[in-house]
Amino acid sequence: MSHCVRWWGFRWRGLRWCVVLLCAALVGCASTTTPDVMGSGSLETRQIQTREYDTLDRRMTLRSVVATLQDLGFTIDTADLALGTITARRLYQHKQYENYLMRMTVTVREREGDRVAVRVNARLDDQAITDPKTYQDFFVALDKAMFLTLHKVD
Amino acid sequence: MRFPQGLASPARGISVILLIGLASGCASIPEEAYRLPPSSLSAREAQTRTFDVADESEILQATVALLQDMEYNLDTIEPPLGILSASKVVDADSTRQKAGLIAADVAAVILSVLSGSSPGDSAYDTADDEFRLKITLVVLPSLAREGEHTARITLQQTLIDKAARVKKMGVIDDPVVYQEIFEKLSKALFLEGAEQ
Repeated sequence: MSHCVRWWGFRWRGLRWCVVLLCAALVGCASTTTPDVMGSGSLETRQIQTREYDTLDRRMTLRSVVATLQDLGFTIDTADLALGTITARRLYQHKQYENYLMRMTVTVREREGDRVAVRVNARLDDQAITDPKTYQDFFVALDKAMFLTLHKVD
Repeated sequence: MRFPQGLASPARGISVILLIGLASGCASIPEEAYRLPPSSLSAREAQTRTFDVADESEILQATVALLQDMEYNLDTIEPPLGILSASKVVDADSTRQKAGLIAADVAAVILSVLSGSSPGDSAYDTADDEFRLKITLVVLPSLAREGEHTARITLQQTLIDKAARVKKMGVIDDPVVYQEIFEKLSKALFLEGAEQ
């Protein structure tokens, strides 16, 4: 379309933007008939959820992860030292009327060169969290717990 | 952000709203949900106690016995990590409230018999809320004091009414509650030690 056409007081080109964004919004929120079995995990999400440490060994890192979860008010659902996995939940009330069930799965794995990788998956109610800020906040809390463990503070 | 030329202002307004909606996703996360609260260190202190006990399993065994005394059910236990979780459901109404409700029901039944009418809904049945409690205890060798162990407790509560509506939920942050549990644990450890 070489020139703009007026329609209901909007210019056609402007309306076209609205329609595109509206469709995108609807696609994002709509439930489909086939369940999302595979999830939408991408390499980028995995990077956001993972951090590597070279300060403590796997066992002490797991100890710091548990301490972090407790610092954040979580209770532990399952824990396995052999697999290095911990799942936890927190009941969270925001402004006295919003109730949330926060769930976390944390895995701690050994990497090459005495490094340890911590990967975190967070869910809020039934939705996976992909917001990088959430994971940054968790790792800030974990950094503090790792520091306390490293300096032998109970 | 610069919009393409030809985007009229009403359309621009709608587009901006839609873009904000898309950027924030379908669910919003409370900003402070995963952030350490400023009181985290004092909370950690209130939730932690060091015991002059060299054997980790001794504390775990005493804790299991204590939780059984406190009518909790064990949900998970992972001794190599010193982790133990348990839960229970308790009535939120006090015994006194319950006695009052039972008395009200008895009075209603007597009145209905005397007047020949049918009694209404039971006050006892409609009034009770319940607390769902979940406790996690982590027992680990003390980092600061060799040969001793630290125990840390996290306690969560949910208050649910009869219609399954959540009235209150979150971490119990009253230090007195943790103090009472630790005092009981100290006694349980003492008793375990005395029995051996």
